[in-house]
Amino acid sequence: MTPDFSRVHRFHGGIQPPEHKQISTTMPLQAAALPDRVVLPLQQSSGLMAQAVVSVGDYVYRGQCIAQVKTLEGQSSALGAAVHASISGHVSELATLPVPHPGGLQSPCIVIESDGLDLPVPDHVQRQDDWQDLEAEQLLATIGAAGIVGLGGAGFPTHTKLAGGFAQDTRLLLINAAECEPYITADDMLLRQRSAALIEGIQVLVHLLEPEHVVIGIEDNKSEAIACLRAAIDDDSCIQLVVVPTRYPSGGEKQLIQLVSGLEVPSGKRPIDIGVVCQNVGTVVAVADAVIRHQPLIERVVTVTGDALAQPRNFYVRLGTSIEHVLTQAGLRPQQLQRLIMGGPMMGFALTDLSLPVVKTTNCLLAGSNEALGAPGEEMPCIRCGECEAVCPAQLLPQQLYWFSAHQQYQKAASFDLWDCIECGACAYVCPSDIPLVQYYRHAKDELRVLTDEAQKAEQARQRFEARQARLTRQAEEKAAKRAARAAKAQQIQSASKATAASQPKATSDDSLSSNATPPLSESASTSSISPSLRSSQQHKIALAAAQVALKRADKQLAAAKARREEDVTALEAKVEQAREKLKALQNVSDTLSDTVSASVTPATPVTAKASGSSTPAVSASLKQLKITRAAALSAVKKAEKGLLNLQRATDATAEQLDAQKARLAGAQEQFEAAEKALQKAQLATEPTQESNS
Amino acid sequence: MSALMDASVVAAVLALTGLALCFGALLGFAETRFKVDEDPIVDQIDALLPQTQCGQCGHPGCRPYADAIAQGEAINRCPPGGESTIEALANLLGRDPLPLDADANANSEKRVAFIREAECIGCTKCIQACPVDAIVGAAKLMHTVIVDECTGCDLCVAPCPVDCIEMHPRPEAHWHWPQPSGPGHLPLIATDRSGLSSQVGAHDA
Repeated sequence: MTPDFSRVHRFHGGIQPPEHKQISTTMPLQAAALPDRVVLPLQQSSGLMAQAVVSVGDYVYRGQCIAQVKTLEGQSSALGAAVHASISGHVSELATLPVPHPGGLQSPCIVIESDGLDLPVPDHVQRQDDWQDLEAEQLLATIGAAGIVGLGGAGFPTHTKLAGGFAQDTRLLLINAAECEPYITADDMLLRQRSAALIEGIQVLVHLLEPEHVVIGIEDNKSEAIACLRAAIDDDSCIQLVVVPTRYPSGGEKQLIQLVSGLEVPSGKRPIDIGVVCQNVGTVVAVADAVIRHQPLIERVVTVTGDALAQPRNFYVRLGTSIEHVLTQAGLRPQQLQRLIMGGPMMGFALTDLSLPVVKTTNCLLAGSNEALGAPGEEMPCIRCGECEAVCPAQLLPQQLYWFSAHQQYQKAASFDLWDCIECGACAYVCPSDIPLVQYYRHAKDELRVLTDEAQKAEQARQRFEARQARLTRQAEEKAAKRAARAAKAQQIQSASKATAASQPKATSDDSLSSNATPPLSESASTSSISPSLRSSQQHKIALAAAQVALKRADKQLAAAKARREEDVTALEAKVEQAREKLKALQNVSDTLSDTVSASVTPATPVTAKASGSSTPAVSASLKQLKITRAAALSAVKKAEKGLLNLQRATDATAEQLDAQKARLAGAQEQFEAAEKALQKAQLATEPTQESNS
Repeated sequence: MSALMDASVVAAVLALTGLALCFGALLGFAETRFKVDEDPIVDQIDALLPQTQCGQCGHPGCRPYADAIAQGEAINRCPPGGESTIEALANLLGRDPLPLDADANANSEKRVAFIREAECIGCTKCIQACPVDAIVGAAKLMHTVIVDECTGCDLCVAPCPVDCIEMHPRPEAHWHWPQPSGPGHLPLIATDRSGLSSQVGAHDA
């Protein structure tokens, strides 16, 4: 479809609310007095939040960038807008403060205390001037660095929108000067004063986008602005001025496109998809300021109006100025201030706090009494009158959307093109039941966003779960394979060792605890080989330790049984005795062993120094073992003594128990003596060895 | 004459045989080419489940429960999905929606696990329990939960030997427009109502 500029087209529906625009156009557009302090939220666009690049205590000049947006991977430019200092002074705070928001949210902000000098960034003047030489990418970067967002109210980052227009073929550049909402005159007053700057901005955009047509769309209720524009546009320029009838919401992007060109943006598409880039007047002027005058976005035109003000008017307001500061300069009458609305009466939202800052999307501050603004009525049931459908500029079925939204059938609402709703509020305006329809739609859209997010999260969780399952299976398989390999190896070794054992004498494979250790020892002594004797001494050590543990355990069981006053402790006592005997036998063996080792070492020493060197640790190890045995025996003696003492103290101890304990004590003492003896013997045996070594 | 008959019979037989072979080959090709490996209904059921992998249905994960539903198991065993999931499953499978088969106090509030890191002893038990690998840490080192990946399934709470894991309500990511209170209440949006009767938009567009 080709655009048709021969006539002004129509869009469906629309309303004609009282304009109330003349209230604020009587006084000229002026700069508001500089504030002492500005609060600059880091989130001032509909994109990502900017990150502060200054810290508390820093001195900043007017126009200095104080927060930047990180460029995400895979994106040519950041989806968000930088923030600049709107006055010079010191950064006093980086804090989370209340910002203008329908939900009264708090958001990270940078607070600057003014030094009253309003110094610009010093190197501004040295910048090169000729924007016509700049490449498109450089121009886009300049616009992005200036922190410009759509000043009409949506706050979409301008460089992102323009980059989209640059990437695709732009047929129509549409400058939106319609400003259809009641009360607001910011664009009107800006055009009256700075229509030349608007033309400059358009030239920059034309240089960037190279569109086939350039159209300024303006409502017919702004005669002065139209006259100024006509004067500013050269006769031979390609800029076309289209005056459209006053009907809300002609300033809606899609509606204005339809009005001037007859083109309709298809459902779910953006204007750029049909080759149209639409920019607000204020945005275009800001582009001119940024590109030609190197001035970032630090102030904007704000309409300050309503019957609570003595001098309703338009101001150039530095971003971050408190609303109270602005209203006071317009002659605020606090007793009449019952409702404060940011934005227009149709699409704006009520604020409850006068200390909130003016932000990039603040096009209007409407301070009025309940009588003038009309107190919101009580919501009543829908009577299905159909008025809303008649006025809907997006040709939706507001009634259906309302039913679905109110009954949580959000998917159904989406299937009735809820996403094409521009939230203009025309339906709510005409609703005889005072239903806050737009709020239902906004709620439904939020719920749909949540559902989409949840579906995405569920998909992510599913993928992670499946990846984990796959990993676990793989690990289990690997483990099983490893285990099988190990088992096979072990079997191989076992069969090999069996084969060698069969070919060798029985002694090396005989590991029975009760077996007499003397034959292998004598054998090893006879061959002067030390390693077999060492091995058997180790085996004995292990057997000794095992026997000790068995004894200890039996002792413990006995004590426990006694503590439980069980009658039949004789079996346990027998067990203890048995364990003790076994231990004794082993100790005897180890005594012999230490003798043998020392005996085997002594003759070996003269033969090879190496053999004696390697035998010394073995001897000292067996010595150590003997010492340990002695200590264990000593502790057993002490334990037996203690047990006896306890029994004697206990009133109900029988004579038998006492006797048993006494016998145990005697046994332990005997054992200790044996251990002591063995140790002394071993020490005696070792001394000559060490002497011979040294 | 009989020779002619024979020729036409042979031709007919040949033609029919040819056709049979042709269609047989076609069907054989179609069978291999358009083979369906899995029951597609399982995928559809799985897509409706919330993928918390919490096991409250008695199955080790959402996919096994989807398999079980396809085999005829009840559709009301998923507490995290709540009524909306039951309804969606009922719609998909043409069964009657049933009331949720769970404790009455089982709330469908979105939750997220939180490890009191000072008390964590680094036993890795919770890491092994997490069905979506949302806990990071190593043996004898502190563990923590990746909030964005946590499905709030609760499975890590029980294995913790020092009870340092608790479930917190998931913080809302964004502010949401509240639903209006309905008829009989004052709306919250500022809307200019003055001069309503005289300025209603025309219907002629």
